[in-house]
Amino acid sequence: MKTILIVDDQPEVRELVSVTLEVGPYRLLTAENGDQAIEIARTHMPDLMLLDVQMPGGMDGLSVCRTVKNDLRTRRINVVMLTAKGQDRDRQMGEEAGADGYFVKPFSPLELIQKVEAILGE
Amino acid sequence: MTNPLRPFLSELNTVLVVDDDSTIRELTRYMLRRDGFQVIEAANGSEAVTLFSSHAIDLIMIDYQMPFMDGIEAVAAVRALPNGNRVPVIMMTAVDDPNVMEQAFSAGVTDFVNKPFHWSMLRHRIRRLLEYRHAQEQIRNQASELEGLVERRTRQLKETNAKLQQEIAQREQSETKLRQITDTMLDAVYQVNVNGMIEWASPSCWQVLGYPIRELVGQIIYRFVHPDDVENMRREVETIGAAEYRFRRAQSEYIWLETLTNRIIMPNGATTGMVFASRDITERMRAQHELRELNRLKTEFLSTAAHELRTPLTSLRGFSEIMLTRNLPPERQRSYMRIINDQATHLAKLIDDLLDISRLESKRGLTLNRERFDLVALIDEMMTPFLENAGRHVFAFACDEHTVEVTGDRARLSQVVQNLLSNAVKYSPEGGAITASIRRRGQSMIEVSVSDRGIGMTAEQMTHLFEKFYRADASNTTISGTGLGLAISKMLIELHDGSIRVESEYGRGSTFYFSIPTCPLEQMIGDAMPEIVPPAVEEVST
Repeated sequence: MKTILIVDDQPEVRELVSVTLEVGPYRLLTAENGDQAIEIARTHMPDLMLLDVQMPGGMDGLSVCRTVKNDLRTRRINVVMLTAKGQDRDRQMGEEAGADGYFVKPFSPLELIQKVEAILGE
Repeated sequence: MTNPLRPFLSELNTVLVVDDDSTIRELTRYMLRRDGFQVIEAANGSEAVTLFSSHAIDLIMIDYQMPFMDGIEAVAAVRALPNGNRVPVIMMTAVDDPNVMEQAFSAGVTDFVNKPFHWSMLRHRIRRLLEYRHAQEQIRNQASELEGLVERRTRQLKETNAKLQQEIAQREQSETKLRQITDTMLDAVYQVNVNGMIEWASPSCWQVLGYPIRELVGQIIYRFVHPDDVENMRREVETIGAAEYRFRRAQSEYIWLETLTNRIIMPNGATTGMVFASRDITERMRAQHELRELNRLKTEFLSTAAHELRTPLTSLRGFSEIMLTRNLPPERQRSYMRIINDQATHLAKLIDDLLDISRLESKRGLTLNRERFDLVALIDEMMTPFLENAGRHVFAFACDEHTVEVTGDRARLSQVVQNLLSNAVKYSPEGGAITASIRRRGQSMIEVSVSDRGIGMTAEQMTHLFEKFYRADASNTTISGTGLGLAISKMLIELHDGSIRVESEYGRGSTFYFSIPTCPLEQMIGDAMPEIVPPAVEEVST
């Protein structure tokens, strides 16, 4: 069973993503902030991280992504940015941080499932 | 037989023969014709004068003694005619009186032959005289040609001179005109040489550039230009002849100049310097800068607003799609409906706040509806719904007076009080006392405070508190909000000529204060003015 880590500071979004993916054969983990996300990534080695960009505290989504991608232990984790920042510049920053995908809020749960399946199906 | 007179005959020389003796005339004509001359005859002096006037005569042979007008008289008359002195005159005479000869020479006779004359000798004399005349004619022609040349040259010189004078006058006129223009224009006009040294400056330079003219002349222009702008300015002047740069004015402040330049090019093509015309565009640059800044803020605001709007929309779209596509037990449906409802409410509040902010930021977009009202009643009114849903909180309202009249926008001030009360509730989740109070501050200010015993704030949080979209303790996700409430409150209070501040201790609670004048500033000034009673006008009885 594949493991997915959902990272978002907003409980409604964490819940929405969890509910969206609960129908699939996934083990779901959640984190409320960047520090938590990195800790869980290292201890549980998820196959995929769905990562919010704007989060309070020192670690925003982009720093989390960079940290994960620069760490030999965690670099194989797929990272998909899940964010309300939809401008080209934001996408580019995500790409530069090493993200494997970019998903803009508000999103369709069905499309999110398809995206996740596509990434984890390989 | 070669004729020694042939060279002259090419010109077909004409001889006027004057003698009262027809035999001598005939003889002379015969001899002359034989040698190729044309011959015209006259029988007396006056006839000779008439013929000379009407014919081109090259030589005259004239008898001394003739009736009516003798030879000497006739020669004198001919000599008086136009061209009369160009013709050689041979006088034929039988007398040998030195007095007569003297008289004849004085009258203009060229030569004498004694009658009877030898033709062989006479032809030589004629030849010599004609040669002489020819040479003289040539000299005369050359002289007159030369004279003509000199005259033409003199005329040309005179014309050139006149033209130059005119040109000088025109230049003086245009220079005066130019001086008058530069004297009266608002732009600073100055001339620099190839090294950038100011050689001349218009009077307006003093006004625009801030230095007396004598202090500018002799200075290198680049010394006044902002160090960061020099390179760019030189390049633009060189390439496009126009530049915008900062210039150090006399008060050692920088102004923005817009400058047009023109090369001063000599007729030989050499550049000797440049003319600069500069205009102070500091105000325009400031306005442009403000506009850019405003535009940047607007874009930033829009992008933040879009982000903020997308967040609740995520829940609306996501949960509604899930409910539409899945069969869920009623309790889960209910839970998602609750989220959708909360987020829709949040969205509506967010839109209201965003509209408020954008109206407040556009300055003229929001006008206060000022009225006179009781602040005590307003706070009572705002607290009522909170008291009804008090839960763990204890509300109190402290005020020494029954009524406190203020002038302001009642609805907008209600919004501020409501915001402070709801913040007090949100940021004291454990409950505790929430106290509102009204206090007078000096003669004309009223201070309202709202305090709680909640989580409080750090110094860092307090510095950002009134910024848009800033939410203290945003990681505490149980506290909802748009992050705009305090930013709006601050702007509304400032619109009332008041101020807002906060005192807080982390973990102990916060107190917000706002103070406003009891009546608007302009009204206070109006009240302070003593009433001026116009002096009564005495009625003058007629």
